[in-house]
Amino acid sequence: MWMWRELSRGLRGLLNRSSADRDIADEVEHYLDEAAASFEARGLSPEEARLAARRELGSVTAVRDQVRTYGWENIVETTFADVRYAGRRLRRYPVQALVAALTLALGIGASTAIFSAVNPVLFQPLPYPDAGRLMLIWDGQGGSRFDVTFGTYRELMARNRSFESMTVARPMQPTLTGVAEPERLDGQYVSADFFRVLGVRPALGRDFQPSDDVPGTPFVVLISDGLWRRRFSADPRIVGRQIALNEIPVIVIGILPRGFENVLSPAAEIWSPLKYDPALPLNGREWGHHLRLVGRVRADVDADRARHELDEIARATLPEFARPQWAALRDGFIANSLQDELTRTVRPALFAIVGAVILLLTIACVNVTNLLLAQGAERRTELAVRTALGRPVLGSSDNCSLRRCCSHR
Amino acid sequence: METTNTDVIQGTLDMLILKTVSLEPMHGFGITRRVEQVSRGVFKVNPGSLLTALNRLERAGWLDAEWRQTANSRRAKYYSLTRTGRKQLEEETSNWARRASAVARILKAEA
Repeated sequence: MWMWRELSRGLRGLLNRSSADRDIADEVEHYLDEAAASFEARGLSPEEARLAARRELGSVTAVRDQVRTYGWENIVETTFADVRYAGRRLRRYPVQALVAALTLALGIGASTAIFSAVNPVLFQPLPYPDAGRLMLIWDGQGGSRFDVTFGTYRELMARNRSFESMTVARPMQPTLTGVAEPERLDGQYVSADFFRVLGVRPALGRDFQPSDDVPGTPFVVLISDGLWRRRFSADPRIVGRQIALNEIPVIVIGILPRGFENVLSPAAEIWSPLKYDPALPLNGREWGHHLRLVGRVRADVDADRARHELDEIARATLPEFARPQWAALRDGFIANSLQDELTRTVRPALFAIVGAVILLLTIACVNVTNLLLAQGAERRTELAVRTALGRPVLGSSDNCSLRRCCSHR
Repeated sequence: METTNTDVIQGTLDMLILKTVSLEPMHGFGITRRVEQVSRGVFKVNPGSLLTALNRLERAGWLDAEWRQTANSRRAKYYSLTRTGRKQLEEETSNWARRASAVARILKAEA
């Protein structure tokens, strides 16, 4: 009830300011009349009575202003008046306005530009489903980060309980042959699970199967959308056809989706199974430290527990998983979220840049504030004169709040 | 007019207005004069404060306002007490009585 009255009265006052003003003016005028009449009744002449009444009332404008300051609508109105006033000032001093706008534009522009560059690296998750569960696992020999061996990968796959799946990858640079113009490609040898661990499915054709990742089976490859468009004119019939890499025939079994980003090797365009020997001969590449190991932690396990389990596995050797001395895992593993590991080296620099940009923006704001302060100091006389005159010239409720704060000094 | 008149005691203007208007509908200057007369010139109402207070009390729903035509064809705003205004007046009156007697007791105790 009370709220409603406040609201409706306020709105009426706002929408029909002139009538609200007239009401106030009429009431003040009537008050003056009555006061004059009462003086007259005491024997003063009409002019004297009028003067006495005025003296008693003080400034009619002041009384009107005082009455008008009541109510929430007055705050709204004052704000609008201030905005209008600001607009007028900006128009009247275009150079200062331009300088302020430019300063702010530079500050805001630079911050936005840097932030948009840094945002995907620092703050956005990797472009995979549930990317937070992906961890990069290193052999932590001597506290450094070493690529893992295939033997270690096999042991972890067999023994861990914390990861849904794990995959390994290493770079390859095959040459596309058997075409008019051979091309050196960037690619990766991967274990069969690679794309399933990342959560990506081929747009065309099929993914690698465990049976593809066995020595002696036919060579198959997956290619990126970019390579497919560039070298095979986006022909869907390429799936199932043979191409030649390093003059060896391989079969294209699928094409990855267009938006697929491979953060482990951004330039890679072609993938082939590792085909390492599960018998793990000690003198083979199966025990070389050259594989990136990525695991997808189970949804109900947190990173710390996964890390803990990895270290337990590293400590406890089992006879069926004999390790050569150079891959004995004596120092355990270093495992962190894939995103943290990828940005680890650049992160401090990027934060420094973000900090610098925030400072830049602050400096811009300070500069504009200084500009305004200087202007304000210049205008004190003007404001004083205007207040003394009862704020003529510019509109009726001109810069109320500004005036108020100046007169309170 | 007396020279010793003072402004109305802080915080009592609302109560004085409500009380004055409770007798009959009245316009702003009427309220001023009534307060001055009844207080025998001790209290002097500041017109600015009075008109603002009337505005506020009307907003709060304690006063009803009505525009009437005066003899010299001016518009005058007459205020009358609403039912909630009457309740408010009772509340403020009893409040004031309690506080005033408390002050009086303290002053007596000192003397």
